[in-house]
Amino acid sequence: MIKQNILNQEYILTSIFLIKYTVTMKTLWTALIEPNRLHIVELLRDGPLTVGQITERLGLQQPQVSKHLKVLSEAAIVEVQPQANRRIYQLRREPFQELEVWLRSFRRLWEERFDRLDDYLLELQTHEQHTSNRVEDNNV
Amino acid sequence: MFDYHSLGPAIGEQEIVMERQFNAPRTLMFQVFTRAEHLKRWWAPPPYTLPVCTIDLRPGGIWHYCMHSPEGQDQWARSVYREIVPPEKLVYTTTFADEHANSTLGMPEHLTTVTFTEEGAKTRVTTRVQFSSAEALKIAVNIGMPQGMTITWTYLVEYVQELRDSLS
Repeated sequence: MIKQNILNQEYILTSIFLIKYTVTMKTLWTALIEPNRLHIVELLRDGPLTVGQITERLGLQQPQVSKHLKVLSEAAIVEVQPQANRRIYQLRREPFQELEVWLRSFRRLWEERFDRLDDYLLELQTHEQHTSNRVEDNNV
Repeated sequence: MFDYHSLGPAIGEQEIVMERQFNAPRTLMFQVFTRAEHLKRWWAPPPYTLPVCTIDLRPGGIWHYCMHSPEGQDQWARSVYREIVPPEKLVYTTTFADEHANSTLGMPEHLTTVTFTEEGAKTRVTTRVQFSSAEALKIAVNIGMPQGMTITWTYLVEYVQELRDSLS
């Protein structure tokens, strides 16, 4: 039931923001809003790192770092490259590019809204004009 | 000098600003932004409609609305008014919501400032959208700033330059 609601919501968001990117946007945002995960993303911006290296730089416990990396992997923000017996984490660029597109769609939403408002005001004021004309006619 | 910014929204900044001049007096503009009967006519992107729109127009008051699709699906959103200066200014924060006006996840919380400026008999409306967690957004956008985009823009700039050269 909950799953169904989430699906519906994603469908709706997609329509409202005119793009398929909103789902990615949502997971990206939820993942990044946690400060440690944002920090991991910043570290990975400069290049791939192992769990050990990330743990060292963040000054956290390894289980915590692994937990955050799991969230980031599930959100498709990072990907893992196994190399010998090490696991190297690196950023995927796509979700960030989609965020950029999402921001653009936000602007488009407002531009279209302004268009509709323009039309509506015209209708509103034409109507008022008619109404006041009719009042004047009645007064004559 | 070619203006890169004219190509699109100011990417890399944490706010989106949109402006337009409307052929209507300022008091009317303020009303169409703050009265449900008006908002129902223009706020939702078609084919969505705005069947429910309740407004408690005071600082801390909630503006709660539902966008309804032809397929019968509802998306609720809620805004909380931060500042109201009729007919000059309106400030509110927005998130998606449920039908009881509780915030839900789905988009970054954002602060919208709408200002209404008189320009003769017309009114300029400026909408400034700022996202919370601006730091996260900034980092994310910077990572997303694809080389691809820069390349496209470079091509475009070159293309415009070529056009100019061919015309002159």
